[in-house]
Amino acid sequence: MDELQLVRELLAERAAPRPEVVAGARARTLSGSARPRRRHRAAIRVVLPVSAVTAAVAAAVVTTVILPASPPELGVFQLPAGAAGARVGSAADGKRILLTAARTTAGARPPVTGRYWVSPAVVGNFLRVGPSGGHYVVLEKVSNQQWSSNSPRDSSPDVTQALGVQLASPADLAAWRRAGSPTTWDTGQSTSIADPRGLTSGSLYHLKAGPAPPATGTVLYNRDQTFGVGDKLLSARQLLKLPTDPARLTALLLAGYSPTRGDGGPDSYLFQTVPGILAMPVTPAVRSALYRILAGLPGVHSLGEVRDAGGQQGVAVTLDGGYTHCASRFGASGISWTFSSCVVQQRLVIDPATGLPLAQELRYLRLPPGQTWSPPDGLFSFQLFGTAHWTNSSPPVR
Amino acid sequence: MLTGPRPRAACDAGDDVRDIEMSVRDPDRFGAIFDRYFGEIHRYVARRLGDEAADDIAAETFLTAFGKRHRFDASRGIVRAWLFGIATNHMSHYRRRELRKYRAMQRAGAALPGEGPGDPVADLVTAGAIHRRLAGALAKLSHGDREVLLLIALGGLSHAEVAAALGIPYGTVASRLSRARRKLRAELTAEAATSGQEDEDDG
Repeated sequence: MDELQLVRELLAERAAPRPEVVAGARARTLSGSARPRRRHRAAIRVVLPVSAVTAAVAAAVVTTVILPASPPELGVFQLPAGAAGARVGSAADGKRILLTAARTTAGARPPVTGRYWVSPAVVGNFLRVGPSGGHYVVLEKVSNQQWSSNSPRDSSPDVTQALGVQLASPADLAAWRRAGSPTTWDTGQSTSIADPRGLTSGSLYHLKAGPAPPATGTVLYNRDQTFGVGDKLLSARQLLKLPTDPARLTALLLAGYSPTRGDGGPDSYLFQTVPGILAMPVTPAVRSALYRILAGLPGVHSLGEVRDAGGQQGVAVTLDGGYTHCASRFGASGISWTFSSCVVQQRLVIDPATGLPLAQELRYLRLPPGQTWSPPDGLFSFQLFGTAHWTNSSPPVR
Repeated sequence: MLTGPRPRAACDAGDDVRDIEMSVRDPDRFGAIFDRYFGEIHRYVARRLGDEAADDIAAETFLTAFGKRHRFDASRGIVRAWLFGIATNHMSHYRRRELRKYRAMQRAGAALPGEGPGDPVADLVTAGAIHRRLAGALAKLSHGDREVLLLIALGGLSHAEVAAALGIPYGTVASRLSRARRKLRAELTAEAATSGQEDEDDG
């Protein structure tokens, strides 16, 4: 008698996993790349007053887009007036902006709850595509809507929708036409905000020019524990127990930081990940403590009043950093550390009325040596926060 | 850079370790590890817990592995064993469910209650009495013995790989495996001798 063979017969071979399961898990695994946990990267959205922009975001997410039968004529991205060329102000002003936000958020009402915490955002990344010698730059915009379940019985789907591609400038439009007006490209995936070194989330990605219907990558694992804080995934209930002391909170956040070659160190990590936690259903006291953490970072400066890439008016702070090992996101070879260095300005744009983030932006202050093109005003990646809220309704797609 | 799925035989442990080490600063490199092992881990978990749980656990396993890739110690084991070890940890949360499944398989006569979508039990419908006794015996094994047995029988791991995956000495693998086999054999022969009692619920 061979017991091992009997066990193999009893627990029989199963079919290979379904392709969409593999693709979803792969994307999710590799998108853990820029940050240690996926929600740091993607859940960067906050309760905001509904502005024209955020309302448009929400509408775009839940509306099924009718795909045009003929290839779309592509539009050209226009950086909103007031979104470029902001002068870097003082560190003292930067600190003041953040401490004001800390006070404003501390006075907010604590969140009520519901079945799902919904956090919508629009992410934009500029990519260089096209044939050798005839390159042009496109902006890919994606709507990301995360539904974080408040119950272990429900899963937490991410509803993602491509919003379509724009050319970065009139010159890029001309180059695109010269290349035969193609509507698909193989490129690096860019559905979430890049990390300060220009690294987006991973695998090869088939970029299409037109908008697409919403699709979902359901987060089956951990169910209601989807909020990445430090090295932990927390449920909404656990979020309420986060410490309100900035030092203790910092220690908790930095548990998720592990240095890799050429990164900007813990300060850059905090500046990049704190907005994502501001976007979670944390208590006003925690939000206030998060701003105090940012105010304590020595490299933070004021940018004064700016408009973000979506045209929203706010006040901004920056953290500038020089990086080694800057990524190229372009070409069929995927992501590689092709550039030895770059200088990047990380921007956080805050709504002064609510103290909540409007946008996160990444701009090259000094292009990587050897990079011959620049996105508009150096802006290579941005994320616009939508109106995050509790809801009792169900996700639009599953 | 990005490689499609490769058959196991086509890559050696050196490839794995290089991919892991390079993935620390080039996260995309981890895609090669994913492509090479996701299917294998998924199938292993699915055989024990069903397809739906395998979707969860396999995804979680690779997410965990990705997050810990900078801590992977090449001197302590090979990547495949490391991944099976992580999967084993994640599966431990499903232990009661796994035992329920074995007991249900033990009780099942002509049909089994379904365990939800993605967990078809058609293959069990035809399972003979000996398989039902075996299922009951699996449920009675100690947790540690069962892990070793299944990593070897279903995962196809070597003794050295099991030792690395579970973080136990090599000698312990051998002793747990032989104890597990002995217990299974005893249950099977004992129950065969008292045929007709195999449908009793062991609780």
